[in-house]
Amino acid sequence: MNGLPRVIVLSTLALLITGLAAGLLWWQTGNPVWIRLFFSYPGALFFVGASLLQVYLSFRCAALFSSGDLLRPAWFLIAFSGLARLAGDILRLFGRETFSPLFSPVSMLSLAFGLYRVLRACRQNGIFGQLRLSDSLLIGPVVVYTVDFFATVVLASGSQSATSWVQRVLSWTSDPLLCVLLIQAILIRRSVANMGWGLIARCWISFTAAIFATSLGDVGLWAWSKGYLPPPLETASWHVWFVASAAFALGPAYQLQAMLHATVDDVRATAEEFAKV
Amino acid sequence: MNGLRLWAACRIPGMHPDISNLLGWADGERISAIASHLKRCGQCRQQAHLIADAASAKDEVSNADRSKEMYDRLQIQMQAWSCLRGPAERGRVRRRQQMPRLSEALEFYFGIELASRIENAARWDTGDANVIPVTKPLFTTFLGKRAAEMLAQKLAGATT
Repeated sequence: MNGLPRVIVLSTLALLITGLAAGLLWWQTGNPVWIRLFFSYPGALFFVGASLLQVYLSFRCAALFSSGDLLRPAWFLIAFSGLARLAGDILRLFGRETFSPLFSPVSMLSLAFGLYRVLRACRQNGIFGQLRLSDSLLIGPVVVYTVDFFATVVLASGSQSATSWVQRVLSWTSDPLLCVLLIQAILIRRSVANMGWGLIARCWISFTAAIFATSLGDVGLWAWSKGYLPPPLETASWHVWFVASAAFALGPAYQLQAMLHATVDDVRATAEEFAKV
Repeated sequence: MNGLRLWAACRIPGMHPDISNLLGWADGERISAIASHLKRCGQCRQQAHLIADAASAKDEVSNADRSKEMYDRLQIQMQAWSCLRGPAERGRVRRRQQMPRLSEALEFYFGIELASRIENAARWDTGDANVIPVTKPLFTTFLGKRAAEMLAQKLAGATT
């Protein structure tokens, strides 16, 4: 019954340990081939696998809701968001780096609409949380990064690159969308953290963690490009993306576990049903 | 904080008074801010009348049992829902034995803090039949209609 979330957590841990070993080998030998191999094969496959799992589990969750249910469209939007991420990951796997970033804003926009519906559901049920002053500590760095990105890349003259204007404009939307997602994630966290650690709460906390990790990864990339990060932290910031990917798959895994537990009477039947996942 | 909300409900369109204020209004507590909001907000007026009707029906001798049940259920719902917001009081998070099945389900799906809050607010001594409809909207929202109905049936079956 608890199988899938545990498998996701354990495989992420295994991957992170492998990444750590590759990083140590690189640091000790000075040869970057280990870290390159890690990111090119197990790393890339993990991204695709996690996105694939998110898409499949989210569609299954959406299918288990009836028409008219408040969160059914939210789960379809989350599944669509996963689908866009999966497309980007597959293109990246096959070396089509030019097109893969285009899917990121599509995925974020879809996720933002999905989470908006979740927040509406929290409000309707009287569990809507409020932003606190301490939240600005989390939102602040991402906003600063977004403003810096716009000032140095978007608004700076002579920032024309070889990419088309559609690609450029789409890539600019990623950071503002990430700010919106981060605010939504904090609100969801504030709402569900009041409940405790049940399966539903864990599902939405996983999405929150995924968005936090994405923000951290984005800020890490920015700090890296500016030369603010020391080498060990630089390598660590690349690994944050695996945590984000795993957390995006973990959310629907908890939701599906909860829904199957509620609909299937017999514990063995639940286990069998879940084993199909 | 409630005063600020009342002030806003009087002046800002889309802002509504807290459910506890409507309960107070139904109990005969007359606050001018509530009265002026009710004059122009049909939604709150309807809710306030529903609460007032349930409260007055409680006192009618002819439908005593049905009205009392309706009023109790409504009051539990209001209390449970109004206590869900805000940080949890750690000291009050505890498991009680009166309603283990429902409490366990709430804890399993949502968490011990929510289970404890509903438990504290919803006075379990009023009976299982009253409390299941209170928690059902939460299950319906987050698990879906089908799953919530099956869960409610399982819980009702287990407690009868």
